[in-house]
Amino acid sequence: MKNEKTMLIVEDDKQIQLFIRFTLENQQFETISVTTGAEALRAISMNAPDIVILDLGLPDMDGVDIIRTVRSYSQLPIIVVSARDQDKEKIEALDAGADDYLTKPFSINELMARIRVILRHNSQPTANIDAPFRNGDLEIDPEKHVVHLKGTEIHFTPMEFKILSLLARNPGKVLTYSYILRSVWGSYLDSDAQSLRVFMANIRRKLGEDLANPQYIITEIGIGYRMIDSQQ
Amino acid sequence: MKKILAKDIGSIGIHILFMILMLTVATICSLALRELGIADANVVVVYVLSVLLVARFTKGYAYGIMASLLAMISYNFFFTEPYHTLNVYHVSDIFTIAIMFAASFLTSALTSKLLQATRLAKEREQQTNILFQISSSLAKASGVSEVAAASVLCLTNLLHTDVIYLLPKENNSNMLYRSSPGNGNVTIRDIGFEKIDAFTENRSVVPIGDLGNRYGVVCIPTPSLQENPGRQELLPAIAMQIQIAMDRERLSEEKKRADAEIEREKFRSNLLCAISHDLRTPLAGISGTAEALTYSLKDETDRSLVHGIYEEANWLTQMVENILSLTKFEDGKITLKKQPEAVEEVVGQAVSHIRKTAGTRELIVEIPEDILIVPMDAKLILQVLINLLDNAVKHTDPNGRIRIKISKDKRNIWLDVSDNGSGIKQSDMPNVFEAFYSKETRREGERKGIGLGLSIARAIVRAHGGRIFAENNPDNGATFRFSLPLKESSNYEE
Repeated sequence: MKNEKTMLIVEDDKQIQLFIRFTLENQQFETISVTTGAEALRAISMNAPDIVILDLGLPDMDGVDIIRTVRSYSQLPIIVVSARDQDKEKIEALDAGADDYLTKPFSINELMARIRVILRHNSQPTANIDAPFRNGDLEIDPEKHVVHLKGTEIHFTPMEFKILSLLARNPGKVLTYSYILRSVWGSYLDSDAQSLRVFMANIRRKLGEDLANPQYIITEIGIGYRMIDSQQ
Repeated sequence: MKKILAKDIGSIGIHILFMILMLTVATICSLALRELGIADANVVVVYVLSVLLVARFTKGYAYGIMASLLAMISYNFFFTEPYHTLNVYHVSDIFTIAIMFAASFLTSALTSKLLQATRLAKEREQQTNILFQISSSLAKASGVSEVAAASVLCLTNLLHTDVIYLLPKENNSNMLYRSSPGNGNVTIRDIGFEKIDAFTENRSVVPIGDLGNRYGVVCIPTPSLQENPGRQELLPAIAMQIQIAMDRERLSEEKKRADAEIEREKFRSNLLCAISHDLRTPLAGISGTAEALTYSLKDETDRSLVHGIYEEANWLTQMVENILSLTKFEDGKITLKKQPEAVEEVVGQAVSHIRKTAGTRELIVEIPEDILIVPMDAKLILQVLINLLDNAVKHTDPNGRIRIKISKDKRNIWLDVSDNGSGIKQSDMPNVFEAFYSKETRREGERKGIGLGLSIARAIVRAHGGRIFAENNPDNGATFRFSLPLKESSNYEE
């Protein structure tokens, strides 16, 4: 059975490209492999892939520029792949509109998990922003401003509530510090980063998170936060 | 000694002869003047002049005084009545004689004094000149060997004798620099310690250098030193100058060596960095491919083989990342990007990262109720925690327990990572944080490796102005604890 989804792999290292393609084809995806940014842009407009897996270290173009170009006309999901010391580029890519990231060397399971999250969210119709939604044991009603955890109501301050709902509406997706701050505060200042850390710490305490084994929110040091997708 | 005495007697004789000659000439002249009927006053002047000449061309006061006395006596004998006796009739003659004596005495004394002063000044000038010549030729010399050669040349010029410089070498032998008067060449030879006595015999030995730094000795034939007492006085000053030149050369050689060492070190770490960097991508390819295969292969044996490749590749990747971090730290390439961070978030991520490798080990995290926000480079502190946790996993059994505790005192927060594993051997204790220290004893199945993880941890903690310790727990296992200052400012304190 064909998955009918097409993945575009943009990677200049042949071996890495090969095993990504091998894995995706094993999962019944169609794949297109290219090695340069120019080819990638051509393939995106010609072949209309469903997801792009984009290496940030391309020989001809800055990966972030590719994302900006694509975002100017399309919401096509993009997963960026970066080296370990490319934190800056990674954040830039996420802020430019990349949907998720992987750090080399990454595990196939991680890649597949990212792809599944994106595919599921794309298949769901865009929900009314005020409609209540749930993520596992967590139920959030944006209109009534209430949060239930395992059926018990938990009180959050308005700011905490905003942050929590933002994360919960994007399960499985990493949200950068600046994205959260811009969405919740409407602006981004470095000094706000500390307040965000404190809000997150309070949210975690109210959710009764075990640091050693978090059930709801994962911290991605240096990048941002990710709500665990309970359907994973 | 005898020779010198004979020489002195000879010079005294010449001086006395000269004095008698001068006085005789003066007497003859005066007698001639009297025959011509020229006044007695001129006779006195002629005698005074003769005494002056004696004082000028002899050395010391003695001849002048003697000449004055003789002039007085001969005037009395030849020119005062009664002639050809030492008696005096006229009182005025007594006055003349007395004044003549006083005048000639003073003249001779003053002349001698002036002469001595001139001689002294000349000598000083010469000494200064010699010292200047030596210091300028020493300044031109570069390298210890050239300084030694310049030293013997200068001393030969100064003392007109052959001079030896014995310069000790590292391999228990000496370099011998020798120069002889006349040819202006320096012969250089390598001689063993046992032969040194042959060169120091009958020679005065002047050591160069002080207690801390010895630069060998200068050997000068003893007789030639005694012939030249004035020059001998210069020897300490010259020795000092040679020492200064030697010091200068030693320092510049040390600096050259240190520079070369730094250059080599830089090259080594750049090479290491470049190699590690280039290893990353193929390693990611190998581990990814192996992982992909483990999911698709059907045969159990094939799968376990490929899984082996996957694990090895991961281990290598870890190693490469560690080497990269360490080389970056050693080069000072890493600049801390400090930001206020919640300690619990860093700990949380470290624990979730280690969960994969920890397997069935129990992981316990104790955090205080307060939210601790501390300035740090979170990625690096995360690496410290992961390295410490990794270390704890390595040293515990699969059913072991690893505990992370966050606490704080007035100035610092403290992070403890303790386990109930095998602990640290006393013999390894002083070196646990040393890079490239490989323990002598390994647990079964433990991979032989260079312990970079802990030294990276230490480098990061120190860069944050914190401290790191390792200790064995009272019951079992070990605890690694490190501190981070709550406030900025105490950066880079050891």
